Amino acid sequence: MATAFSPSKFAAQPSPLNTTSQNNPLTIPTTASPFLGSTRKLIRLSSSSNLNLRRGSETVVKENKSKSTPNLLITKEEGLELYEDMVLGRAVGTAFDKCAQMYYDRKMFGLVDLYNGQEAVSTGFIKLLKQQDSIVYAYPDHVQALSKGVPARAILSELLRKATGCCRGQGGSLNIFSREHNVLGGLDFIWEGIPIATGVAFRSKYKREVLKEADCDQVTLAFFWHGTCDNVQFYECLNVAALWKLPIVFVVENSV
Amino acid sequence: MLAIARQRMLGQSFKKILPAVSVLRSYSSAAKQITVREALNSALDEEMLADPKVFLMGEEVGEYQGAYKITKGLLEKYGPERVLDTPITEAGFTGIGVGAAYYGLKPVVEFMTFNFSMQAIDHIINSAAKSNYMSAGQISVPIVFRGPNGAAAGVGAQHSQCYAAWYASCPGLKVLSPYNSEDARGLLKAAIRDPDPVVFLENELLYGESFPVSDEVLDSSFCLPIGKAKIEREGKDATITAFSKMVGYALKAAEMLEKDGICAEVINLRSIRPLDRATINASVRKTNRLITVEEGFPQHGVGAEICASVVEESFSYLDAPVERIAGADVPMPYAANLERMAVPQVEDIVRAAKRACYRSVPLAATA
Repeated sequence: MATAFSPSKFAAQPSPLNTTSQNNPLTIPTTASPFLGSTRKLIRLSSSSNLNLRRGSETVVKENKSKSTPNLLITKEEGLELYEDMVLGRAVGTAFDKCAQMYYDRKMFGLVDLYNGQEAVSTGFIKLLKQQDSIVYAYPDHVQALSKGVPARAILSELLRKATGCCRGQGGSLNIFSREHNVLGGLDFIWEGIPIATGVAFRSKYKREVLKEADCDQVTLAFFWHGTCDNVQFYECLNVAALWKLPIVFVVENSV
Repeated sequence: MLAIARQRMLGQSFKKILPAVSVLRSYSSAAKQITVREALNSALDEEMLADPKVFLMGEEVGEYQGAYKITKGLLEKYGPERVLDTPITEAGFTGIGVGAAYYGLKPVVEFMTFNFSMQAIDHIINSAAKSNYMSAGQISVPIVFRGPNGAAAGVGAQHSQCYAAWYASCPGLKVLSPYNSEDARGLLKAAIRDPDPVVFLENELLYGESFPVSDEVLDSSFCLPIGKAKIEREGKDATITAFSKMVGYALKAAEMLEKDGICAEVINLRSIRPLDRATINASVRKTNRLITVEEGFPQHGVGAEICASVVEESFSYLDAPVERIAGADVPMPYAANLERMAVPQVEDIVRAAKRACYRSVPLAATA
């Protein structure tokens, strides 16, 4: 699909996220998502003005004097898609929260974790990925899986222990996997996903250099809490990723 | 499911080959002799040649040619992209291997000894063993963890533990333990080709031992079925089960028992998980007495599981309580004389077999 986020643009140089009609020669169809890996369609609204998002003390708008550095503004379409994704994540979390009430009323048992307030981190990263890119995380894991494209119904069914869940009820709230969307857990230990993500990144490099699939450009993202940075496996993998030059992004989330 | 079907198919096809192998092995003077080290090296070499997705990872596997020279020559042949020297980070590189295996590569991860695998046990159990189940079959982990296991000579308590019982208790893993060169070649090839995580427990003291192998074993397509034990020596009076180095001890014990009129059947387990309960139970139903031998700690060990299996399935066939020979219930001592007492010896197996046959002294007139 024709999008403003074609991979070649990223590979060549940092491309601007700003795609106002004045300086973007590409026309965006009304139903295509501006994001690579997204399976959702967005109805385009009339306005094409830039959307200036402020999140807490951070600002998306950067003052760039130089032409070569990217302009980090996003369009209204992109902003709406991001917002929709975050709201969906929160909604699933809230539904799950209602189930958590049942947990306290003893109708449901097990581990319940919520991602409320952190949705922007996963949405912001995952929306830039392609279907073939992978994500690995610890928990809570349902919001990241949603952003990557796993249907909300499959995730909620999994959280509610149904056989129609994405892992047939065998994984549960802490172990959400989806081969199709390259979502590799959901793992119980906060550090566990870091070496696994490093291994998946290793596979991308192996495919390109040993199996000679020259077009393989899969990237892996490892999400983990800031507390994980005390763990030995984090440092082991930083070392190995630098040593073997692996296509991985380590995302440290402030989960306070 | 596919893995089990595949193994059944392999098992059926190799049922025809194995009797041929044993016939050939009786002509051992004409057969070629190779060490267990050469067997493992050739198995790795052939599997890496056959499948470009197979790669090796571990400490000193590349430039040092392997801590025990098992991976000798492979770096020169396949290059640093397929034979990876890792930093001293068991947890890290095991997890990296599992992540690579999630996506269809076939890593063979070497632990310098399985004692070091405890640093990485979270990844072996939680990431490798359980992922196929947790993802409802979406993700398979065709990884092999290999390295020396159990007691070596004079390496002390922290380098001598046997991990067969620990790993074999975990669903999702397969655990293999070869004895001779034929086992080493056939089982390692089977492990690399298997779509599930396999823990491959070698023995440092066996690496240098030579065994005769037939041409069948030396063929590059040779493979042994996982989950099938081998009857190394047929008998009728008592069944002795063993794995790894203890198979050699059990065979020596059986020779000594022969002189005393006890004809012992020795079973080489080969596969600790899945355990070949059918072969063990069939043997016990024939001989009515069982002696289990292992090097590891006695409590919750492999022998305990075999004993439970026999009691569950063949209780009425037992003429004597099951005798369980295991390592002493202490951390392995360092002094040579103490070490000898902490590991089963041939005399211990002979004594146990005689106990099971209710003979503590030789009969005056043997039949």
